[in-house]
Amino acid sequence: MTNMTTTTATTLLDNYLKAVGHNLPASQRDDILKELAENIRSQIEDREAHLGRPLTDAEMIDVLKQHGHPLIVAGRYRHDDRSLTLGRRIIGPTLFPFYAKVLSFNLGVTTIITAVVLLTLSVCGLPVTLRSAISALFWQLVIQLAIATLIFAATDRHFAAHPDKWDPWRPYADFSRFFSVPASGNAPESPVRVSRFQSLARFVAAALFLVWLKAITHSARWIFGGAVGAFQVEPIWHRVYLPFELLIFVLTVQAGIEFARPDWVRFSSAVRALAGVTGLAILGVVLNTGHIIAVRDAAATAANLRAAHIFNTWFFLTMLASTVICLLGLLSNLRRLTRDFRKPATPSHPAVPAA
Amino acid sequence: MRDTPSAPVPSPPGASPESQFENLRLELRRGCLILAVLAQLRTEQYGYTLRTTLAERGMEIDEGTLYPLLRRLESQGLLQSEWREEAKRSKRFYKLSAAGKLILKQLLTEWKSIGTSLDGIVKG
Repeated sequence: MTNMTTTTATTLLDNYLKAVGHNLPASQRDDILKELAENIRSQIEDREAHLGRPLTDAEMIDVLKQHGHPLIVAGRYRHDDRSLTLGRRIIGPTLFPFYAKVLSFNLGVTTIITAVVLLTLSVCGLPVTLRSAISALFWQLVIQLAIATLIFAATDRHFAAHPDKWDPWRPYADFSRFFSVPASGNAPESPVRVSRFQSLARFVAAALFLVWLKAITHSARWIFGGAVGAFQVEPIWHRVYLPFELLIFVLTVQAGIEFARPDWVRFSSAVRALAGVTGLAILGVVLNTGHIIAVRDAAATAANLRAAHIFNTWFFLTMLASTVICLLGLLSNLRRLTRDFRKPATPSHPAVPAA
Repeated sequence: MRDTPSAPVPSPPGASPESQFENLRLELRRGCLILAVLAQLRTEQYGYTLRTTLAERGMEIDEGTLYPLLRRLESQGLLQSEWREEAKRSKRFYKLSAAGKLILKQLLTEWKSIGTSLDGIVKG
């Protein structure tokens, strides 16, 4: 039985509060954490006064576990009881806000892209029926919805089955068993900073985008509806497709690793910075060409040529905006990486056996 | 006796009598928590002492349930709070607001009425 030093107790409490804070509404975060910290300190002091000695490691951990998993605690402060229920609960209130965010983003982007394409076709006088528009959109949305729901439902199930299996030394690393990553022998003193739910959201979003990319490559009808026969992609698409697909795949894997090991902050920043450089290179090649869609020779009517021109202009502007976003992301990651490498190495604590 | 913070989950078919009883017991107690908290906060207290006082009186509540509940009741205007120093530390003290006093009075009337009705039903 090891009595706890003040530094150790502070580290455990700080890590716990930071883990809770990551998932609290920003407007109330400081106030909630200040109050929570005070209540936990009072509880520790009370126990120490009762025992007549400082708490042991195990007793301190017991205090934190009694308060509950950081994600569940933060969820209760959000007062958001929305959940997905189909006969029985599929996705509970703790994960639901992240599920809703991922779905809104992915489904929103898909709907906007499809709507812009179909509207352009319609404006150019090409045949776009309501049926073909609905058909083009329907399966894309259904597939994305199904994949996102499956991933979040599996995570929720695991979470509900093992609410106590988290390590207070590393309050973010509770899913390490889920991904079969053994807990390391040492726990970091510096608080981990990557939010697990953000990683999950990025993982699902990137995986869905990858599936969507495959789907539209396999069947352009999902984008062009009935007008698919009139258009073809320019050779530049075939040149950049594989690197682009690989880039999204790497980002998906990186988000998965980040989810399992959120304390690998440098790794995450390094991969994202590398992905940013690769992304900029791909965007540079695409912007240099500027065209992605061409009209097939047999369908070179004025309406089709006009539609292709509008697509390409829209595509160019989108790529330009993506370049700016990618550049800003790259600079942010490089800055974080530089800052992290400048930090001195921190001492570590022994890992706590799993509950 | 501790309360479980999560929402009541109906017992699945074939659940053991112990598990069924536990679920129903928690559901029953959950309905009384707000009443207990409001009644206790007729006297000003901060989160931790409120929890220990309730526990001493047989109404133990998980920390993860009580502290968010206090904020919810405050956002509903039933409680008011202020940060104050006590023993050289800053603590957030809660007490019943005017609206909270009125609601508590109404809830207590309802509680007594339920108690009387139940007594009659149970005694047959």
